[in-house]
Amino acid sequence: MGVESGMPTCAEQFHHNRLNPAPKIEKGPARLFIDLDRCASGECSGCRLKCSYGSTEKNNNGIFSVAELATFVLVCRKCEEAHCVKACPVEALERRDEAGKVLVRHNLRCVGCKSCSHACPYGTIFPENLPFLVHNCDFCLDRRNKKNEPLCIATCPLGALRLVPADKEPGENTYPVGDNLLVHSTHWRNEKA
Amino acid sequence: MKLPKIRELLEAVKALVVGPYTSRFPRKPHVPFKSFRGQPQFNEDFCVGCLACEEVCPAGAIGHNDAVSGGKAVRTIYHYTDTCIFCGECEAACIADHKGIKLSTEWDLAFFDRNRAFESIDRDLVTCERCGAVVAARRHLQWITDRLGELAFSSPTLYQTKLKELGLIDDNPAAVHRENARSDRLKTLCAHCRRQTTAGA
Ligand code: SF4
Ligand code: SF4
Ligand code: SF4
Ligand code: SF4
Repeated sequence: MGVESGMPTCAEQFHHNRLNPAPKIEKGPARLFIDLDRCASGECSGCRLKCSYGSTEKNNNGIFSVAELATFVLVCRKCEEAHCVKACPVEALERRDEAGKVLVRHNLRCVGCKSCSHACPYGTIFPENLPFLVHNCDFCLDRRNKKNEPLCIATCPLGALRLVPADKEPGENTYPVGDNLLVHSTHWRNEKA
Repeated sequence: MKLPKIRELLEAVKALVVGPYTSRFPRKPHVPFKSFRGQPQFNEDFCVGCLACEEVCPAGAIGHNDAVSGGKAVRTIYHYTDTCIFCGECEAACIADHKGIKLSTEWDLAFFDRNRAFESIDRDLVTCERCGAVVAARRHLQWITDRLGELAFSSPTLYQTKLKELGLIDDNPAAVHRENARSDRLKTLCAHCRRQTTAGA
């Protein structure tokens, strides 16, 4: 898997409707672990980490796309009649019928008005996580073999990121998402409610 | 003689009779074409204060400042004439039917003092009753409520803003309740507090 073998990353899978929202734990390239609880704690006012994507935009780096993906897959309650989708003035939000009814924000349409964020009755979408310009994280897959960790891991001030072997059993409240991501998040869960 | 030369000759003769094409500016004021892309102007009646125009502006010609003091919170949105490239992206993105900010045909934009080369609009803000952070502009929440119809009743933030607009309630009765999770949920909240208070099933 990964860029070199021509397989798309999970960000690409997401946009091509091929994302597996609940994959099996098996061998593969190390997953990028993100602690969504910490990342979305509000402790961090404006993400300051560095990203190899070369983004110079304030409040916009690859991790925004990762946090958005993880939030849509895990935190979102997949409303039958989605408030966020109905509120969007430019039809930028779509709820996919397949693959776990995951939301996707078509960022070339999105104008960054944050209406979806204010419409959601559960606070799923944080307004600061809706950048108008988007940098899709590629999980630095082609930089892994040079043994340097992705830049984001070293520069996240809250230490919310790390690399985890793909075949390691995830702990409590930790979920693999797609091929490249492992997310720790304590959110509302349908089966517990 | 080639054809273009004859055409120019005809034009010259015509100009002797009907006068020149050029206008008498500055003696007579210039009237731009209807589709001329001049100064973008905010419209008090339509702008909901969502800041989509600021997000999309490629030149960074739109900015804002949220001032929270005492019980009042106001967002001032600025448009800087000297930075604007008159591209019209703001108007194209404006969620208020493209009428909150609109390119005008105003072209006479010289300033003696560059620091005054801006115009602004004020919008009332709604703040979170739990943490005090800015939620959004009041008009924006009303706009979303109208768009959602009955779905808006899932969110106290939305329906309370709407009920206040209609003059049906003054202050949120739950806001003065004792701090506990259940009454917190009925407050007007920002997304962070909303997620925290609704996370436990
Ligand atoms: S309204 Fe909120 S919970 Fe419902 S689908 Fe949209 S983001 Fe998810
Ligand atoms: S921020 Fe983007 S996705 Fe959300 S409502 Fe506005 S245009 Fe739609
Ligand atoms: S016309 Fe273009 S440059 Fe001027 S404020 Fe609007 S988006 Fe910005
Ligand atoms: S309503 Fe239109 S003019 Fe007003 S802030 Fe939103 S995009 Fe800008």
